Amino acid sequence: MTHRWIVPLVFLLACGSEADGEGTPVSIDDGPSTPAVLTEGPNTSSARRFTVDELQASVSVVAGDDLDGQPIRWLVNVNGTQLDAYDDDAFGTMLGRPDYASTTEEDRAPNTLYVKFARDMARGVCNKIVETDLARPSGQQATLWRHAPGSAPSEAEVTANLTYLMLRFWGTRAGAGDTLLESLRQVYSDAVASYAPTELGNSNAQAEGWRGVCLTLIQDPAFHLH
Amino acid sequence: MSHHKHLTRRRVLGGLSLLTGSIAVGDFVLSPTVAGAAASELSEAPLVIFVYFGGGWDTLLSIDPRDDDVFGIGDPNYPAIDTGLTHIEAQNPVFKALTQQYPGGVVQPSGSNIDFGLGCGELINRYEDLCVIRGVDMGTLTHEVGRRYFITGKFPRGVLPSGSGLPTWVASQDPSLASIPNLVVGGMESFNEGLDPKATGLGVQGYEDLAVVLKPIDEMLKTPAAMEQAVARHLSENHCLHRQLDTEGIVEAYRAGWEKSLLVGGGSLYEPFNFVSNPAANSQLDVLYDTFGINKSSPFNELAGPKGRAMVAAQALTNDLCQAVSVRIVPDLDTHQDNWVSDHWPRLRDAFDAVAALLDHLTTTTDSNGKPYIERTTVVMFSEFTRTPLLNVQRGRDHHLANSCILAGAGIKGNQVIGATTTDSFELTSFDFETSTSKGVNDGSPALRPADIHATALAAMGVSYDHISNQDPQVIEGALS
Repeated sequence: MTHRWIVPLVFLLACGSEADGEGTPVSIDDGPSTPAVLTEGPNTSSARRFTVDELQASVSVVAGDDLDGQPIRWLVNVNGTQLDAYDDDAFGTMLGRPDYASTTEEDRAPNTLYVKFARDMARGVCNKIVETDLARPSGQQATLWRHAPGSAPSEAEVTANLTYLMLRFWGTRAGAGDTLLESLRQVYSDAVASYAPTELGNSNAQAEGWRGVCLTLIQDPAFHLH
Repeated sequence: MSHHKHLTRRRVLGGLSLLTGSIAVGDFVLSPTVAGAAASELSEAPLVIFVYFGGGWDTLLSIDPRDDDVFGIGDPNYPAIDTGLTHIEAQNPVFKALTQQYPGGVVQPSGSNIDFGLGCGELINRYEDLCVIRGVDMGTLTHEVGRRYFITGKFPRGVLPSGSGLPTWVASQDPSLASIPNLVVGGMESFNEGLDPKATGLGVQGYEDLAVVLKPIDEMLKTPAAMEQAVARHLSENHCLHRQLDTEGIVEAYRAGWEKSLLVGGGSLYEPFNFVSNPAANSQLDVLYDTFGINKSSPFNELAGPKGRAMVAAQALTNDLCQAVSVRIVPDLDTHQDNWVSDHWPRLRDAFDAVAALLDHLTTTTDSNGKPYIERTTVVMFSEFTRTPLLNVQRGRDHHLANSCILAGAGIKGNQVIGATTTDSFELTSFDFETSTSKGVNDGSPALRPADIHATALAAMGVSYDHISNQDPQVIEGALS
């Protein structure tokens, strides 16, 4: 989905002066190689939230594939049938996808219904990613902790992984010291600390940390607005 | 943009604490009376129901009728109007029975100052509450434009809405009063231009959609409270990226939605909308089903229609969850072909029946002050325009400017008709605001407009109408009690 990569072109040129440092780019091996020039710039044209179709397409990209190589989807039970949550028979119409009979345009206000759906979706999708990553055979790259694979990642590995995830989910390349990155690092630390072995089966503290980061990335307005 | 309140860390975590039941998180302390205080203040606030009849209603069949014995098919004395009742009678035995009971197809109960068409159904019995306003100039024959004009009180920019909807304006006076300040049911549009994002309408098609908002979609997906709090802490922060995106307050609106989703999404607010079959005898739902005439053993088809939408509105108000409710009570009145003959009347009647039941429920249900909800609730019923007085070659009706609407409830003087269309030609007439009466003819001075209806409804609620001041609205004093 190319639109995920259009977003950074806007923000790369517009944001970042609040970083503690000068926003030194961190090398990662995903995404475009455009250098991170982080300077506060003028506001761009009006942002809008994703359409339901854009949301569906974006989630399928950022969530990656399952163990069978199929895109991770969020399935919900509707009258006993497992449906993609964005289908019209699930929540697509309710979220505002036009039916071209009674409505021809989608209401793109980020109202409570949409945001509540996004919250639930974040849980469904992030749980699926974590579950899949935990079950990956050795040698297969994880989606959520690709650059911090060990059980005790170094500070540099955490930074690299957070940077990679920001790029993957938001299309934004962060520099070291970027306040957004530091905020996500705090989420990671807090979520790691929240791990209680008895509650979550075969998970572990690091996986819970990345689950928390994933929940944050998907619920942040930066994921839904462009 | 004005009135944009920032989502603070304290407010976010306060909402989260409500959800999780905890009281304090580190240095973030929740006021334990947030929800209770809101409910208390809401009991003093005006309530509003905005009922939209989608597609353009036929007022000749309902609230601006003509006697079929005079204006029936082919009467050479009145060539500009054709009630068309004969066509419906030929297809619909129920309608035919009604015209035999009410010759001419016009009903005026004893004591009523309002003459109704047969499409008004059970609403006729509520005549004492109703102020029918006739001769409202819509200024457009385009659905989107007319609909948005009546929702905002301002003529749209092209087809794009101008300003905020009346329910949003009411809810924005203090959106902290209600858990869901502004509920929008049945696919109706709602607009918020520059008002507090918390007043933005929460749109649902019907009661089933409310489950998605008011309950976790999947109970299995709960995450530890500490992780939720870490996420909430991040989302309360405003970084450069967010400021860049927030060019028209959209990040603020997103965060308001997120905060609200914490407050309402825990499941506790869903119970009033848990419409099930065979409810317990004398339970609240059982009584509600009786009021709305729902088949208790097999309710779901009816719940998907006007009755179900009206019931959502009723429950939202009488459970003190909302201050403003908009309902598209019926979506499909746009009958240009012979579906006018087959479909328009039953759809119109079913919709008015549902509204009548809603008014009945608000009359018999009392609030925490012991007063019937109808005494605090102002009701506006409208459509984007009316339909032509003559049938077209396909035996349907097209769009016509000379609309009507209904005001009812709190602050409204019922059992009266204000304004008029011309008797013989169904055209607009000029309006005299000094006397609150129609001038009987179009003398070149203005007819009533949606902005005047807005000003009148808001005046009835005791709410200002400053937001539409550039429309020069005038209150119809005669409509106020």
